[in-house]
Amino acid sequence: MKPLYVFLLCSIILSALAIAFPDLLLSPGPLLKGHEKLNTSCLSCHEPFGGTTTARCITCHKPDEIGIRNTVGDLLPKDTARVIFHKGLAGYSCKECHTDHKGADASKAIRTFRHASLTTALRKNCSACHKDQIPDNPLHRYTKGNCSECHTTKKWRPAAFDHKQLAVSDAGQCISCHKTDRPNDNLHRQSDANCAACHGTNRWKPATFNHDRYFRLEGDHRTSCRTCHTTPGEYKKYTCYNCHEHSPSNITAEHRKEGIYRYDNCMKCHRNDSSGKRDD
Amino acid sequence: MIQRALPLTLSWMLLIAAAISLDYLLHRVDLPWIGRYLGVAGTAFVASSFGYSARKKKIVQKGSVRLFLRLHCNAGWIGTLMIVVHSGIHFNALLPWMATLFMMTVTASGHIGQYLVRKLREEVRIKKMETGIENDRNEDPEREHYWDSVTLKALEKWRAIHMPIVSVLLALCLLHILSVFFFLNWR
Repeated sequence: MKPLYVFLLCSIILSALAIAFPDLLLSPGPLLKGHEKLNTSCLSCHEPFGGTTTARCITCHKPDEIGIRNTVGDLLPKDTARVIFHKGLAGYSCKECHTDHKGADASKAIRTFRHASLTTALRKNCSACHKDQIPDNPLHRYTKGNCSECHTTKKWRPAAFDHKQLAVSDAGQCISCHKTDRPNDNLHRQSDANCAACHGTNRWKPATFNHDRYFRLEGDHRTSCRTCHTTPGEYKKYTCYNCHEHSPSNITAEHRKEGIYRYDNCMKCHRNDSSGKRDD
Repeated sequence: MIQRALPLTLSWMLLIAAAISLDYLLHRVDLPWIGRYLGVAGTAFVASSFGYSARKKKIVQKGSVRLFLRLHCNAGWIGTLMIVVHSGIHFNALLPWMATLFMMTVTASGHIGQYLVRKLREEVRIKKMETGIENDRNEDPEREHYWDSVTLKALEKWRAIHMPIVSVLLALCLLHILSVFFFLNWR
């Protein structure tokens, strides 16, 4: 038989078989469980030369009923996140996420979800869908529900937290989140201040605090912060009168003897800072 | 005989090994989607291999028949490799599966044809030697063509099997391509 005739005969026979048994000859894989009845009705979902269109999907799957009723109208168990999610989809582009021919298991027929498919309003209301993923810790209790302020849409980590997002009243409560970050040393054990008094919000170091810049803590001055800084958390104010040596009567007597009557600002004359100047 | 058959057998087995390795590699580096486009490239290679038929039927007037035959063999081998990788060695639907199977059969048949050509050329060379024209370097092109025709005629029996298989393969490929165009999501 001439090759041309073989070609024509085969084409006719194969075309007829493909029309009669599309699931065997053409289908790239079994349909998911809910679609099993459509195994031989390709055109229920596929438009000739146009692919699968959303218009065909929503003839059965009404977007406003997803998560509420199934395709035959029966009520489904409550699943608020699913309802909000599908209602908020821009343009109902089903095939952005869903596909088929991957077998009976519907979870295999889910493509990578793109947040860009959501409406702007829903994109800002992350917790509408991610409610169950919010960690139960002080930081996340203070946040306002828009995860994208710190997280990207691809992965939860790394995240970039900006302290400016906190309310003013919460911003002063550093220790409620950073309890475990606090070093267990003399300085930090005695400090009642909020971290921001010395540290920036991006990194712990460099910190602005360096006592040598103001007064070297050496000799008898190696004492607890509260000896000089009597107001808790307020390290700009100090007093020199809290030890036996510097009693108010002693200081008054010694200064008057030298003809000094204005001695309320000790540090003005008695510098003992990192510049090395010292004036006793 | 072994001297002629062994390289061709190895060539066909290498085709299978290369296809499996390439497919494995694409899956390993998470680029299996490339296989989809290899189908298009492979089809282009196989289509270009038909230049040999065009030359034989004098649709293409210029060029050495031997050169076109070499193009036919090499482009067919590369095209088959690409198309087998394109199949992803996943056999979900019968039509593309049969097309892959027939493609391998056609390539195997092509290798047998290549074996026969080499064998017949050797026989022609011996005949030429017997008639004392083996060393005639300035042989008339018409006469050269005559010897090619002698070879081709001797291959008729093989062609009687090869061409129908090619025709079935073409029908399968055409239907596969048409079904892809019919069902594919273009947007």
